[in-house]
Amino acid sequence: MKQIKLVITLLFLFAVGMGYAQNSGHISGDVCFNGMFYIPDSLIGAEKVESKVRANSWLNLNYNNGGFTLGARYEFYQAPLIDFEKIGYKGQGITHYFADYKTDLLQVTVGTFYEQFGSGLSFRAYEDRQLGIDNSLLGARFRVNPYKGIAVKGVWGIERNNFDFDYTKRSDMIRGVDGEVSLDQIFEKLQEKGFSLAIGGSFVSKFEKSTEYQGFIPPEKVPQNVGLHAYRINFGYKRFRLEAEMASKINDPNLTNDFIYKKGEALLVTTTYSQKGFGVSASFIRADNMDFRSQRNISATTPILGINYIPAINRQYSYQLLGNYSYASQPNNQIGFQGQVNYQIPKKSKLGGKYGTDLTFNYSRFHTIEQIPVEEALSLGTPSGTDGYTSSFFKFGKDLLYQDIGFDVTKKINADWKLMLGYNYIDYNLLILQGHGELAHIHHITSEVTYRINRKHALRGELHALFTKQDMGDWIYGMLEYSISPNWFFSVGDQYNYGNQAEAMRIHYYNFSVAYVVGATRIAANFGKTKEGILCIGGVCRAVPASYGFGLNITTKF
Amino acid sequence: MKKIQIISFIFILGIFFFACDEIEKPYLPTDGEIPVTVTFPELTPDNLYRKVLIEEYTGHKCTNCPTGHAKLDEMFGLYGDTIVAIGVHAGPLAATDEQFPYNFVTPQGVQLFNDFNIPQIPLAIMSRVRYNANSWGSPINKWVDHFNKVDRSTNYAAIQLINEYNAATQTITTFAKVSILEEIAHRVQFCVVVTENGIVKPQLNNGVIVPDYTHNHVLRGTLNGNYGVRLTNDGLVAKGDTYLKGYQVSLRDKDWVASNCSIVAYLIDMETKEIIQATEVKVQ
Repeated sequence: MKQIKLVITLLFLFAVGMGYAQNSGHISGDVCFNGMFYIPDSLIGAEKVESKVRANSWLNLNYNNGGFTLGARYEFYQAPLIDFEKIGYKGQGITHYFADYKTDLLQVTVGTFYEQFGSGLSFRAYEDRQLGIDNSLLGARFRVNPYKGIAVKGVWGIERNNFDFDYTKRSDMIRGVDGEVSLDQIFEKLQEKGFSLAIGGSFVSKFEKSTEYQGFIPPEKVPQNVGLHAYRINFGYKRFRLEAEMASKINDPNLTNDFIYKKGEALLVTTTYSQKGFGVSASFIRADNMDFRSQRNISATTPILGINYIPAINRQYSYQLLGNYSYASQPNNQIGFQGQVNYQIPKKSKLGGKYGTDLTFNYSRFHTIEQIPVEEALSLGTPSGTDGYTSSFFKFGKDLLYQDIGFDVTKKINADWKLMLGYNYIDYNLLILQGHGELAHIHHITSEVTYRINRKHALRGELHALFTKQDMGDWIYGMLEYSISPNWFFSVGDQYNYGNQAEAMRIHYYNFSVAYVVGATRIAANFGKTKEGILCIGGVCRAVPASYGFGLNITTKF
Repeated sequence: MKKIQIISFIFILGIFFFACDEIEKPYLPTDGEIPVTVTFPELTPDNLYRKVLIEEYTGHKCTNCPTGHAKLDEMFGLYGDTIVAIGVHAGPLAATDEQFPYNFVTPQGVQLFNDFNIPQIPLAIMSRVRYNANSWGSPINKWVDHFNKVDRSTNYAAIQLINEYNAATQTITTFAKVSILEEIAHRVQFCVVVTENGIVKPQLNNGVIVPDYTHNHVLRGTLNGNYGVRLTNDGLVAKGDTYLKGYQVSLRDKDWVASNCSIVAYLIDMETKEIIQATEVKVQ
């Protein structure tokens, strides 16, 4: 693998040199430094860390000349932010490097790359800097467009596992192929009549040697090749769209499913309809035993070495207090639906006012799937080494995972004032989603006001309240942000756990921050406390440890 | 036409490399569990007290863990064979690297680490009784307090073990007899694991790598699943009943030293997760 890195580095230097010699080519990239000085605080659980000053830093560099692209990323996470150290994302080196050549017919990539098939049920190699996920593959990828409307993709490689680049120890690899036919592009009359239609399918296979007993399953009974196939359809007619994908995985005994042999299944359906001032969407998901990893002994509590992606289809919120009750997608065991209606009361009507009033209503509900243990599992007392359970496809299981009923109103009163008010009732299964506690019943009120003082100066305030008798009790959050566009942003915020049953834990989690933006460069500093909790993006979550201290963030693009 | 040929070639090439291994039943070896061929002696007062299973979560890159190992030794001095200990190596500090190449991690250990939400190590769980509402485990300085949280006033069950080792076939055989002494309201499962003492491998100790550190009570693996097996079809057991189990494990493909190995058996209340009895007997 070192040879690939060396060859790409030499190619990079050669290409850049040639590009400059011929006065062609384009270099782009970005740099980020995200550091923090940690102060211990035993009350919130911010532990004393070995190195008080920590930082995540990286540099992305891409060179493009015609159809030819070379790229590399250097990451320095030797003493990373403690969130990242806790999940094992620690180390340094050139972690991403590729050479890519693209024509109208063919695209070939060698090195590390990201890719997704369909909605990701079968394969998704991606990165999320905030979560500390980088599931890139080291290997080769091709994309072919042999005919207008037909696309074929293929991948072959080894998945990144944080900073463990000793591939001599690895026996696992991923191979996949995906094809999609866009019928509306082939038959243009469909388009003319307002239709869009694409069908696709993919097959992904992972290989991992089996040499050891897994519990009491002998190595010869552990599949070395595990295949997953998926089929999808995207249909549209004028303002209506339907996207559906279903996937099936063969026997894949692994740590996340208690080493059962049951086949995995997933179905994801999303429909939307929109017209001016009105939009409605509905989604359904069922995922049964679909956690698919490069290695079979990876725990479900970490997102590393995940091959596919089972999304969370519930409405995603960025509200501070609800962040701790984000729904974590359950690839092995979930069934649920989400519906949302957006309506704008027309402008210049009585209720709509001059600018109209936006209303949003949403409802989502997720359960575990029904699981009836097979006889063998009952007599053995463990599902390991059996087919595990049977499950009726559309039947909801008895455990409620998450329910959200939400409503919000956004109104622009005049050119200077804008208001938002929202309410959510949430049921959240702490035990299954976070590993502790019980079913929490949560009421959450959101309010946000923006006041434009003049063309350059603006104030934005947020006031949120969360009420629950479970978990940590009631919270209130207030935030005030002052911006002088386009350069300066100042904010002060506080989360106060005033309803905690333990008086000593009624803590203020305050935060002060300032940011300066000039061109493509942003410099931000903050000081404050972060509470222990979880961070979820798109249903993928990681634990966030409590912290207290000064932070400095610098990013720039070129 | 040329494009179609390219596509066909790629697909045909793909078919050769993309594979699925569909495993046929039975998945489990039928010789893992074996008939019981030994006669157990009558229960003696030695079998008639409740022992506490200490699951010590540890790792070779955990700089404070040797303090925990010393604390455990100290507790053995205080409580003698009332304690049965298992060293569970799991979590990021149990991972291998160039300096710590030996892999102590077991699938069972990883599952327990996750199921009991171990936030950091060293940490110990006493008979799977919660230390407090927020944590199953307790830090080193609270281990004695945590030990005393285990209610040992009722002895629900007795576990007897008879071990055999066949040096020619390198096979450990263990026979177990579980006698139910009191009514148990909940479903129970019986778990049998192997531990090993005297494994000399590197360990981080107060910031210094000790290359020849002796690791004891190391969890090596389970003989009947991560949470064991039911003793009856519905998992419910009756006072006065006895249950016999036998298991075999081959050391042929393992680096375990039989003379350093012990069999640890324990009975789990599956409702509360509590270990209601445990025992340990050396293989040789």
